[in-house]
Amino acid sequence: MSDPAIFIMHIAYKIGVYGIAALSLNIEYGYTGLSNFGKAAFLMIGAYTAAIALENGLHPVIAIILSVIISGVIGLLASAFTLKFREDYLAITLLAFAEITRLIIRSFDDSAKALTRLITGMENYVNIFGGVHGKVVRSFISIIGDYRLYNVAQLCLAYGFLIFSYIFVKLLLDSPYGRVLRAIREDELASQTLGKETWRYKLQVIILGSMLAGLAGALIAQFEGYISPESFQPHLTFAIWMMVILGGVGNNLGVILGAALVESIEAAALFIKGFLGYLPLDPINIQWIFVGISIIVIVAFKPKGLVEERPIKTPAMEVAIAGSTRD
Amino acid sequence: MRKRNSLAVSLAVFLICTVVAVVVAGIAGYYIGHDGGYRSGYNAGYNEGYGKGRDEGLVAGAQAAYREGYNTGYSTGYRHGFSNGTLNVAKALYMGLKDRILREIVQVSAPNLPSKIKVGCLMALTGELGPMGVEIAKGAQLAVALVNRLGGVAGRPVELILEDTGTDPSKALTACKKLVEVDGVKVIVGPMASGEVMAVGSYVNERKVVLVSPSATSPYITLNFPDDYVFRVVGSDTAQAKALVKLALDAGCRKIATLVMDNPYGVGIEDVVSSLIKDKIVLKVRYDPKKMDFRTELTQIKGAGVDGVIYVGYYEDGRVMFRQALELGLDNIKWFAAEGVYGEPMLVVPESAEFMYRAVLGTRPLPPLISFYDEFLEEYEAVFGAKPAAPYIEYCFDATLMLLEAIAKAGVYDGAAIKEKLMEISSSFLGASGYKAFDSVGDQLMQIYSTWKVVKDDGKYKIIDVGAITP
Amino acid sequence: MYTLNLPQIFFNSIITGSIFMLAAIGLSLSYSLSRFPNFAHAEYITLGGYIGFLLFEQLNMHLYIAFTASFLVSGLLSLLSYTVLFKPLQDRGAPMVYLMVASIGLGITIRHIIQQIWGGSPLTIRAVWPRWDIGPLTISGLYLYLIATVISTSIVLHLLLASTIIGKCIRAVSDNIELASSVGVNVDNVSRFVWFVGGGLAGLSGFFMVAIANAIPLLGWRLLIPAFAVTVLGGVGSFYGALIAAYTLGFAENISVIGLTALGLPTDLKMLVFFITIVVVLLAKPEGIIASIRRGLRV
Repeated sequence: MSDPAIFIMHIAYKIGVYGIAALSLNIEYGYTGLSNFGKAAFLMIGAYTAAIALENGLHPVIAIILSVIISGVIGLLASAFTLKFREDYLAITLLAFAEITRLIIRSFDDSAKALTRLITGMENYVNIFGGVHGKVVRSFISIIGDYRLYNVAQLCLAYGFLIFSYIFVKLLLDSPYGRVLRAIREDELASQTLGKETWRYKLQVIILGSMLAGLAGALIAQFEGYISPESFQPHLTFAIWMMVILGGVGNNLGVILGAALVESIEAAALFIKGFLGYLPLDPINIQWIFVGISIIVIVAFKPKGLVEERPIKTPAMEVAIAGSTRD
Repeated sequence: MRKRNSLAVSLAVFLICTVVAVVVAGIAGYYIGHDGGYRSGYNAGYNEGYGKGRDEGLVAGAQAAYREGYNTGYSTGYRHGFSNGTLNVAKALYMGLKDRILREIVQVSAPNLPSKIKVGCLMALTGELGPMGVEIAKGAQLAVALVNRLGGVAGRPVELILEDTGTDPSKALTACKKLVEVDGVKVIVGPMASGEVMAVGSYVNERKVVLVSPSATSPYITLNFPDDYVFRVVGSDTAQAKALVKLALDAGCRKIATLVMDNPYGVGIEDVVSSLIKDKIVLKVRYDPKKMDFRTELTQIKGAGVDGVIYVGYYEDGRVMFRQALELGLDNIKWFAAEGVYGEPMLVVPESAEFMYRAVLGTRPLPPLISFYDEFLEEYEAVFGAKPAAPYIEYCFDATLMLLEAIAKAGVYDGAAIKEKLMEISSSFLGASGYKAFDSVGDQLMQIYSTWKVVKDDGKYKIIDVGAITP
Repeated sequence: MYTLNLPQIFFNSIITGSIFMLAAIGLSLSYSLSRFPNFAHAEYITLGGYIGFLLFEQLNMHLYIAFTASFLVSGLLSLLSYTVLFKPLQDRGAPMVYLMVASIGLGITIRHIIQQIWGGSPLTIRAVWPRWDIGPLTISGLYLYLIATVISTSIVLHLLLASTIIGKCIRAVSDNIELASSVGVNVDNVSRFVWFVGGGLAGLSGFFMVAIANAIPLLGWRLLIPAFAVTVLGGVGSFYGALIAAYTLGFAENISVIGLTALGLPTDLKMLVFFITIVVVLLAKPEGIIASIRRGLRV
């Protein structure tokens, strides 16, 4: 009855979904240099949108589309005002934004109740976000018979979206559009002098990143079956940053590898802690100390990540490379 | 002249005769007429009276008989039930915890069980609830160690596989899948927090794994997973909230403030309390338990002029809350606290202990008078060398024993069979935390709450039970 | 419906503002000197709190020793992180985002080392402070210590910045780093001094938070968003701005708590105050409202 494959598929599913989240951060930070420290908020918005859509009997496809659109809209709202900030201000603002989003979703139902009481004087029962109790989410795929088959279907769903996102991001970033983004990252002022409205590009990137993050959030929610505001604390954002930095800033395959590494380390901790049990160490602390030190070490010694970003192959580049080898 | 005389005499006689006849006839007629009227009236009255009387008499008679029978039956039944119950308890107690384990778990014949019985245990060993979870897990460890020492389940050793949830619903699900799919367990004790139970609920239902939580109290668990594989051995927040309300109303409070943590436990109780006594609540405060400076919240409560505060918190914020409440002079209000602040750690900080001594009356799920708590305590101290340092340890112990007994009774290591037997044995299970009968949705049928307060004895504070409440 | 105890709320706000001020001064000054927001600043606060707990509660030392030790240890940690990590990174020309990411990495490391040593559950100082009731006001001895610390810190910093050479150097570096170094200011020494003092003050705020409430590993992280709000509202690098902003936000927080409880909402939402402050100020006057007002008034 027990089936280790299901556990492996669980981990694989999470790798796929966090791979999408890492890709979304990669186009923002890795390609455009936007330090988005509010990633958890967009995952959360996607997750809650999907949960509410499914609860109201909407079709899963519509639920996914809604998650993506609403996350994109919130991304637009959050960044429309803040994108003109310097990168440090942007980081602070988005970090605060994520915490605030969490608090608002957490207390939305009660706020709505209190406001209706103030305005209409009537008590009514509001249950949209589930408040502190969280929400039980229906799965996109209904479970028919074989549980393993169900997991395979889920896995196909996640990796389908991952491959789709990867190809999309790859095509986009290898296009002239992507080169503008890199130019913004390297030198915003220079890109502006070249006549590029960098602000517009940045906004588009944040919207795109938020949409991908919303997709990842929806996929997590429907697979795990339960979401609560406590699952979207800042350490989720840091975990995604860890994936991007570990895997290689600006390298799409690299960040997916980073996601695989971070998730596998967490899963492996379940098995190796039996051996660590004799040491008076808390595995969670060790894991996070390791994460922290790796961030410092990578930033200090290998700021391009484990897998470095490769130059894009363009005709001009080929000529340049050919020229340099001939000499 | 003679003729005239005779006519007169005859006339007189006639007249007299007539008068006499008339009188006699009248008298006779009266008597006859009276008699007939009387008789017919009597008859009619009798008949009617008899009919009515008979009807009413029948009803009244039946009632009287019913009443008498009821009373007799009730008292007899009660007496019999009581003596039977006492006898059972006396038997159970006489038999002792170990004998019960021997008879119900160890010395059963179950040839179809695997050679090793695996029991999964999901606890928050790290994270927010980590310090509490490490202690609660000892309940399961103790139960497994005890059963193994006595011979195992039907002679097979029991293996406890403990996994950490990190107080994170998502990690709880990963750990749960690891237990079920990799280790192949069919029964799980835990997890602790209601959010974690909600996260693994639909999965264990799907995989037919029996889950018994020792400490998740949220009513939302029942709402989301009504008839299924999720059980709990502790009463839900609804019952606790009713107990708190009863306590406050008995103390004569008219204006009440609620002061709860902004988490499922606090908000769950607040919701029930405010639906029960809506008109008496003048102020509702939900505080962030991590903020650690509650002086403005407390100033608000002081300003609201309430005579009672219903408080839900844990040790960490409770210590700060009581210390700051003492500081702001809120000890002249009656405080009613849920079980989260019951325990020695609250008395570590002198100011918090002093405040509890002055103002706080609390409730907690009662370790009942009739239970194996003493034997549990003895075992616990023998194994761990210390007294239990957290609430719910005995609940975790009972949850584990119930699962093992259900496995022994089922005779096969299969979720569906174990679930059936778990429902069945629960009605007669007496453990360290009392009777553990489940209702049809897997919640506790009956939860008694005891009220406690802090007393100062010779300069030292201690907590004593002062009564019991059945909500 | 109920009466507000205004003097008490005023006093609570002063306390909150004082904590914010101690926590934010170092962040603001190091931000302006080294030109990146140091997220690891939160952990200097936490470490100060735990050191205070260790000496005062676990080792039963005198309050003043614990107090001084919190300042010194946090200050040294801050100095160390600057000289060992941030300075070399800056010398290699690392962009601001890298410095931010590195500071987050450092913060995560320190926080979990603290959690490994002292554990994740809250620790409480058992001391009983003397207490006075003055009319509607209740004041405990601890708060007098806090207020005394804040007043003396403010006076010392004011004198330091206004009338000593170091102060002038700090202001010069903060205004224009290239110009300052070209006129012979030793930017390095000035930075080290500021990082040390700023970290030390953060440690003191942690010490007082632990004494008021509990020691938890997330102590500093919870003060970080308010501290950023103070920094932004007061103007990055402005000592007087931070002073005024800290108390403004202290009042704003307590008033929002009153409003939220009156509406029956959870008091967690008071964080909205800080968020709105950050966004509005950055949109309207990124150099800080209070700093701009001061410049306008030429104070």
